[in-house]
Amino acid sequence: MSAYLAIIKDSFREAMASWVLWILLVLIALALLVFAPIGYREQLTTGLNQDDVYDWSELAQTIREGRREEDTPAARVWSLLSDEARQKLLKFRRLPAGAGPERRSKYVVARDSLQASFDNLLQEASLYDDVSWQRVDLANEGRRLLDVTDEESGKSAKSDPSILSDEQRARLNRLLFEAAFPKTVKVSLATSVQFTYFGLDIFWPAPVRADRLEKILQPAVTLVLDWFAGPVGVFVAILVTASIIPQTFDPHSLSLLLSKPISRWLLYVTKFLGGCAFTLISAVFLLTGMWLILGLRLGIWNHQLLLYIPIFLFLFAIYYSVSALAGLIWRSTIVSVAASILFWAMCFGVGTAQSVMENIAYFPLRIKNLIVADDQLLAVNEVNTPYAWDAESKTWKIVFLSDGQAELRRRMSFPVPFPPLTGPIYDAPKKRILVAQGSLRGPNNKKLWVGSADDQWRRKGGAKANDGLFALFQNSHDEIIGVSRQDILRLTGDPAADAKALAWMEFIPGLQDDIFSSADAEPPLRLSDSAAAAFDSQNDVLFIYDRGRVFRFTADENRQYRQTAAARLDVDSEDAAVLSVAGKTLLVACEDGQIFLLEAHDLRQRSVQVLETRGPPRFAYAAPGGGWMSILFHNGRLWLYDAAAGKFLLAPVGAQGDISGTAFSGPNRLLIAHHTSRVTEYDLRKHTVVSRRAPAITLTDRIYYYGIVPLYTVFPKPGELDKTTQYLLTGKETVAVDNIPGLASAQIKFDPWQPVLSSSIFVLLMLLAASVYIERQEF
Amino acid sequence: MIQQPPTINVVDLCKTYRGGWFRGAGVTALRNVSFDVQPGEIFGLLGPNGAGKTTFIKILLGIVRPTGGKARLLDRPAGDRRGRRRVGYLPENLRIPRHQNALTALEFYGRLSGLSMAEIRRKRPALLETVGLAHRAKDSVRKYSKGMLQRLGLAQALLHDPDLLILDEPTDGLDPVGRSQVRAILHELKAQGKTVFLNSHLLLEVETVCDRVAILDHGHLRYVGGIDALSKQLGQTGLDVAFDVGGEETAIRAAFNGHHPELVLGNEKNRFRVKAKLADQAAVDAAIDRLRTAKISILAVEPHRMSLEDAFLGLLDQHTEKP
Repeated sequence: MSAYLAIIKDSFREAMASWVLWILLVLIALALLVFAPIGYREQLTTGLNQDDVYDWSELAQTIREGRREEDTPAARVWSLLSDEARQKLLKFRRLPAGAGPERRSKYVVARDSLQASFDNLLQEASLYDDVSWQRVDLANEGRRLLDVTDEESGKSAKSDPSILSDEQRARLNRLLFEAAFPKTVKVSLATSVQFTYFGLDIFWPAPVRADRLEKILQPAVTLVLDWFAGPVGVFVAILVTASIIPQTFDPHSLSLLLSKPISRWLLYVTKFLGGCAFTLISAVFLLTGMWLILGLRLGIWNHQLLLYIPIFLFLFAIYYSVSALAGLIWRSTIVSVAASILFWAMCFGVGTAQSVMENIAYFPLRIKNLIVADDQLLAVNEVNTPYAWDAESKTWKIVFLSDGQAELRRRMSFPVPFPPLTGPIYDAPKKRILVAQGSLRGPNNKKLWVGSADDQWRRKGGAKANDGLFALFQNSHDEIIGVSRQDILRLTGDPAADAKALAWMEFIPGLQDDIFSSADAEPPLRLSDSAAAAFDSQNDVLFIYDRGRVFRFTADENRQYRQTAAARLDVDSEDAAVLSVAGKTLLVACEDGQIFLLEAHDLRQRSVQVLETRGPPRFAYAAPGGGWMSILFHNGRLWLYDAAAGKFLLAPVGAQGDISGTAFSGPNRLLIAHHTSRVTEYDLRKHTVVSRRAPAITLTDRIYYYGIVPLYTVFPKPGELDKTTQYLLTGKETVAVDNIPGLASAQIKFDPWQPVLSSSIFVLLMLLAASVYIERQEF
Repeated sequence: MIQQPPTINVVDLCKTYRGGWFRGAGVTALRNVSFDVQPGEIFGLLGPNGAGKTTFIKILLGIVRPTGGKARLLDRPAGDRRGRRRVGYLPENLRIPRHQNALTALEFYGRLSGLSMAEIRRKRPALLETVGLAHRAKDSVRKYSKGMLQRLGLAQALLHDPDLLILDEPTDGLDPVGRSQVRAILHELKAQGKTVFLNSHLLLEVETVCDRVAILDHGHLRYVGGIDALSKQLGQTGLDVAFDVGGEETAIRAAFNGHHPELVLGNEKNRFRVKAKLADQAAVDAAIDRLRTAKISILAVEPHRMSLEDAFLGLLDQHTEKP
């Protein structure tokens, strides 16, 4: 044994004697030194950034309109603005649809200038006075700031805002501004993080709490490691170590080694392991350095970062197993390096073919929503294209696209992603579906569309809907209820009316939101982007989850929604959740995997448990009649809550792990969407399959499932070890494909250990082949 | 007395390197080679390039497998790991990895030979002194001359105190002082009762130190035995003797009457070197008597045996003529 340890020790010596290693270590040291001066400071969130306002034109308009009224926030803000800023405000208008690039860039300049004026105002001025803000519902944090009292003079901030520090005053300004214009200005976190470099501020303050810093930096760290440090490091390591095996098995030095009382294959394997020493040294240096910088400078002690050391080593071992075998057979460093590059190209080719097919031909077509419209079944895929099942041709027919979308769909050979949908919901009495959707140019500019089976699900309407609208329901009076970030809304206009007739009215103030009217939520809503809602249609009760809190709103005799209960859940306040309500039970499934069952009437917590730990929940639904609730997780597993038995069970359906959408088609009927675009209907009491909808298998399917997938499965996947690291760093086996807040946005599920497994088998096979070769070969 | 088993024992050893699709027909390196090397012997293996000498050594060490016959080393099958533990090997054209120095190289090869670190530390200084590398022990081998590398190679072969030393061209690249040091080491090893198997092109080297030799030629074993016996086998008798004498040329010619002497005039007048072929020592004595009787001064007498080189070339000639 000691002989083999000597070989490994010798490899370390060899690595340490290599000048390339030292150059690499110096480069790593320099990179670490560049990052070392980064620091941060937690500060109160002040000022006004571009992203803090939903709709700048609406904000401008609100202030324009309110400037002449007395004692209003708008008048106060107006009075503090400079003449130049006032002029800008008066001129600022919404960018009309179809504006050319010149107009667009002018708009952007005007908007940025407006933002700078407001930012300056909120940072420098003192907005508060006794009269202007009387009717404004200031957040608790703001009230606390106003109550601050100076001990010496006995004055409170209310009477003399100058007793506040500059930062506190600016924070108060921001809170006043948010409270005054809740429809257009986003609610901010109390504190944000300002990054510094050598103590100097860099970038905008990040809207995140210091203790959540890790969460926002994680992707950057992962990106650097997976896409830069990993590949470059491995390539350099291969260049350096490629010579080890050819040198060892050079006839002049080999016969001496083979004359020693050691086994040949162990000599090879030990030399192979010794070659890994080089990578080990570099990886330890780089990652320990990063870990120390993150820990000492940013206070993020992420010990899992150190797990990258073995992962890097493994990544290297995969390529090195090929390089070493080639080096053994041909005894040439150049061939050895060339073999690794060829192998990389093969892995890249197979991986890319799989990934392109998956991401272009399969994942976008995966069904995420199912809508039962009487005897018809509608679906929405991951790129927000609505389908209707055509039983005759056994295919999903694309429906409900705007002319522009239909044109785009025709021109592009792959599924184009459309803006996210709110809904669709089926309005059974009127036999129509309703859906709100932003324009292709961005999530704002949301419009409401309707369509019916009689009209081949053609989309109609297009009236402007509130941009913050995120949920649609139907209440017991068959009214359509919308929930936006700022209010609870009731559909009062005719959504099927031709939007073109309405278009010109966009420029007339006050007419824009006509299609919905406020249901006067009391207290007013100020929800974050990740808020979620559920509705008890029978009892007209709306439940909202936002930032760790659950609210219950009930319609009173005036059909006004009033908060009747609220509860705080024991979760991280920034975690999102999905919820559903059935009878007396409200189910809240949180991002961290905790499933809360609350009493629907008073939000008392009944129980909490964890069903899935490796992926957050995505959708929760309740069956008509309330006998069942379903929770679909991002990892494709579906759980059911049996209300009668009061317990959870893994849904007794096929395709667990590959379920992408679900819906209830009856009190005991469950629809599941699986394997991209198949839908199976189950009877939950009888445990039988009621119906199946499966589009015919195409040639592409055959190539993909019988050619690429098997090849991809057996092939080593060095390029996918980032998934393993991702899993190790986050504990999640799903990864978001976009950064839309909330849980409904798609997350791709991955198997963190598959790359490790297939790659391990590959490395072992390579070592085995080399061992057999070396034992049989005469040197 | 119990007969000790031979240190090296080969019987009908054959080796044919396989041909391949692109390599053409196979090459036969050894054909039915049989001989023994006894414990305590210094044994030389001779042969021209391509004779099969290195193949023979590689078979002994298990680096190459024989295609026929038997080979045993230290009473174990050739290539056996326990046998190899007791062998010190110095390959031809040894290359030592460039990151080593003498100390680390000895540590590395010593541990591969099964020595503990403590043993290596204990033996290393004296051994480096013996091979003359003590003053450069910490220098990288990159700075070593070929001779220094050869000394280091010899040191690693000796480090674990092996019973059998297999040295492939041990004096290759060494200066005369180095060669003489190696010869001294070999004699010292012989005194310690070690067996040395020497493979060398330098026939003088072999002639000086070896007890017995084997001569390989195109895979055939042409000869095994002592160097003296070799000349007898070649049927050559008589002594070549050189006399350095002073006197008249005619008198000298008369004294060597009938022996066809070859006279070479020396630097001074009446000084000659006479080369004569005489039957045996009695003929030499008689020649001296005649010279003295003729009042010729005898300055020196140098008998010349048949050299190994002569024998070697003679043997190869024989087989070339009568293949």
